[in-house]
Amino acid sequence: MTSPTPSGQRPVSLGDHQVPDERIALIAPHIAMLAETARAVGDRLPLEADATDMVAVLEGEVE
Amino acid sequence: MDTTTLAAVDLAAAIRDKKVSSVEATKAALARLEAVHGATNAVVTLETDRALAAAAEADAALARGEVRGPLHGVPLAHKDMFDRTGKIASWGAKIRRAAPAKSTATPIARLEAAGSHQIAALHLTEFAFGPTGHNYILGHARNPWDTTRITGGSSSGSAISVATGAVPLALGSDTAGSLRLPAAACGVYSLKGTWTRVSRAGAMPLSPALDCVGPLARDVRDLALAMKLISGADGRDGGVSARPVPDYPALLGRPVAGLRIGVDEKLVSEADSSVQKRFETALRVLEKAGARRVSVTFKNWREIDHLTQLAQLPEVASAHGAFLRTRAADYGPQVRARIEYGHYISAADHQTAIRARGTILARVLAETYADCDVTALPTFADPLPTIAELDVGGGPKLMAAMARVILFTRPVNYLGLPALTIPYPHDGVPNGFQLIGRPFAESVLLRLAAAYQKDVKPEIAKVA
Repeated sequence: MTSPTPSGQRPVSLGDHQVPDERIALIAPHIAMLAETARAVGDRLPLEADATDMVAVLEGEVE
Repeated sequence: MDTTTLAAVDLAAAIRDKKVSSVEATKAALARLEAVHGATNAVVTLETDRALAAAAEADAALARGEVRGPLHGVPLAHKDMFDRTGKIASWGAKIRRAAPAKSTATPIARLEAAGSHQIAALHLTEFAFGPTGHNYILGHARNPWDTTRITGGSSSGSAISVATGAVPLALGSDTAGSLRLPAAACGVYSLKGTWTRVSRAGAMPLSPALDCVGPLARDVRDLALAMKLISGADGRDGGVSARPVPDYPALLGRPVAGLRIGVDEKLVSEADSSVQKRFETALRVLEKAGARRVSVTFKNWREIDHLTQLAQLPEVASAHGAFLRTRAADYGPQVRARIEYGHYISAADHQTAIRARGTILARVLAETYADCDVTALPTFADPLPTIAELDVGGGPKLMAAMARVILFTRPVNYLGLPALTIPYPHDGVPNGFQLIGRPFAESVLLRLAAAYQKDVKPEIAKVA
């Protein structure tokens, strides 16, 4: 295994940094697990959901 | 007078009343830090000359009748991740800023404006990215109650310094548990405020979506005072809430009778049985004070934990991208391995986690917090591990080991809720639990902690 990315390419953001195959073998299933969660959450998330919602909910709290 | 046993508010009063000078208190604090450092590795830099000069200035000002604030003349020490004018913070790392800071981090500046001075820069996990106190660059931090055990991280030195009486109060930061875990492990209190409560200007960023700066202290009165001083709007950090800051110390005495503490028994049952026993003992202290226990459910805790990682890991990978590409060998093995993960998370998945936060927080408030004022969870799921047990480097056990340590803390950062760690009643090796409040309910957490402290007195670690 050389990369867990769907495209089979190693991330360009790593530049020349080499991630050893044994670590990629650990990273891949972990990232796949997180991606499953993202997909499941994304399926339930309204189109309008936005990063600024968080602050709105925090600030909406009445003391 | 042994100033190293005093709370900051009592030490400040003693200095104001000229029962002890700031220089005397500072010398005692420096001596204590020096004494405990050998056994614990608490200190990155002891700033003796600068500290004594600041203390002399405080004494001179007092002689002129000037009191700068409620911490006038009080020696403090903080995690070495905050900018201070003219200095380069270590960040617990080999990789550091190229030039000295041009200004001082807002939380530090606010504590100094209240009259305190800094006597040392303290140990932290490399780049504040680790929950155990292991640091493969500085050396591992060692617990002052049992030096074979972890201190928790990443605010390791802050917790050690407070636990041993060297300073009454110290600042740290919390991205996934880094204030709460070391406080629990070293037997002191800490408060991670609501995500937008405290300015992070001048604090080393790790994951801005989650990072919080906050205090650790032995005495809840100090925690309340520090929180009041460092909270509130800051022109240097647009992310800070403009809400007025409550007078936390003045609110400490309000009754806790009738406050409802929500406990998710199923989630708590994931903790080791000995931890569950200590957690129950601590809850009984709060019930005795008049709080009422109710059952609640945190739905999808694992899902929230995954979302926290999806938010955090790409932010860390991005922040460290240039260093990883050019200086990978200068990282310790654990931090380097964890940074790599973020490069493999898709932008879409990261955005899903960020976009979902408000929706998920709203759901938690509507469901979990519908019938309670605060929730309670253990801080650690297990009795404190030894340093050797968790010395996993960047190897195959890394992610599982870290996930177990931050099982109960990391999702709280995603939710942005305030959380206060309280030490369990003393029983050899410390540990603690956390009270988690609604947004901006820091004063409720502090009131409960103050009621608890009436029954469970702070103790000082006698490592040296």
